[in-house]
Amino acid sequence: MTLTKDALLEYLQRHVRTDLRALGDDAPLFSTGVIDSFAMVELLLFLQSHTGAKLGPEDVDLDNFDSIARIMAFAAAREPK
Amino acid sequence: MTRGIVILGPPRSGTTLLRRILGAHPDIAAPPETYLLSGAARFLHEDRFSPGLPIGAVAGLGFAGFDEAEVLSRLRAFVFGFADDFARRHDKRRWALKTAFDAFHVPAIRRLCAGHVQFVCLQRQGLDVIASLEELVHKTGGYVDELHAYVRRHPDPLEAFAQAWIDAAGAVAELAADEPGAIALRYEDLVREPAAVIADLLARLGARADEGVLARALAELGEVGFGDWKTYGRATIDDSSVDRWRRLPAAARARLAELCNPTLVRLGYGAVPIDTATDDAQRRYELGLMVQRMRRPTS
Repeated sequence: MTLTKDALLEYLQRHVRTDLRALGDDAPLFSTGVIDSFAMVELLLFLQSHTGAKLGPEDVDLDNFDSIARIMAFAAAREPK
Repeated sequence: MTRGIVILGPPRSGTTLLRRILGAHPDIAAPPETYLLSGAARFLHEDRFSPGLPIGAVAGLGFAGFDEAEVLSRLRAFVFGFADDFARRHDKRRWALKTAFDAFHVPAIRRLCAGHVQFVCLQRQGLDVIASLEELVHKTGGYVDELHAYVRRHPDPLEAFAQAWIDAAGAVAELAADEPGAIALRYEDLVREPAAVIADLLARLGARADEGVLARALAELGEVGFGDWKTYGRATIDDSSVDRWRRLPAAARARLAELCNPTLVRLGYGAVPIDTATDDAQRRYELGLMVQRMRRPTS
């Protein structure tokens, strides 16, 4: 299932209760506390269910999940071709 | 029209906000939480054992020649007397009482007050109440007696809060349905459309319309006394606390939904979906550890 930016923002809006649309796509989320650990775990589960790929320790990295742009890029790379 | 108004709702359901608004009306005095009604409820407490008489003050005084109506009348005069004096001091004709944990004493409060006050019954989505109770307990550092009774029975605090909410919300709903003149409100409606909800409430209370009541309530600084500490930090009413349950971990949401959904549906809130697909505790734990490692600064 292809992850759209709107679906991601809607999901984060429900779990983080912060309107991330007001932030830029490159704004840091986890390293600045906008997303906490609990919400990050929920996000990872959400991405797993969307991409069908099981995440490993090598995936769970700020480079992949610290901004909307990085999350979208990671999801696109893991989606089945 | 009664001079007394009693606000009842499970704790963390917006009762302090409502008290604050009603207290800004020129005819209604609303003291900080007095614990008068729950205190009176404890006075009326009776132990009942299958073979015998109820054991308590009413039965005991009955044997001394004071019938129940007289005992209730004297107790009512004692309780209402404080509220009447408070209203007089503020040059107002009516009063509104609320204390956070009164909802756990509804039968006794009803026994004391029915026919002598107008009840305002407030409800809020149960999982939001539970999330807010968790925050309250964290701030206070312990459990008041009414909550402790549930924590003793349920080792998981969230489950204890859920059972507490189910009981309190059920008792308040029953009163709202059965008591003539009782007014039922929802927290969600109050924070989304405060002007309309309060205008309608004042009309149903027989109080004069007052378009400035919200502005005056919000302009007031917090007063010394028991009550919700958060409402006084707000200069506006908004719905930012609605649906806060969505931030609970999915496993907790699923467990609470199982417990609360029958009551949520009965109260007109939708059932909370139980997302069994993500309810994988071990996988959640593994991901949690990975996220914690992600926090560590690289050397």
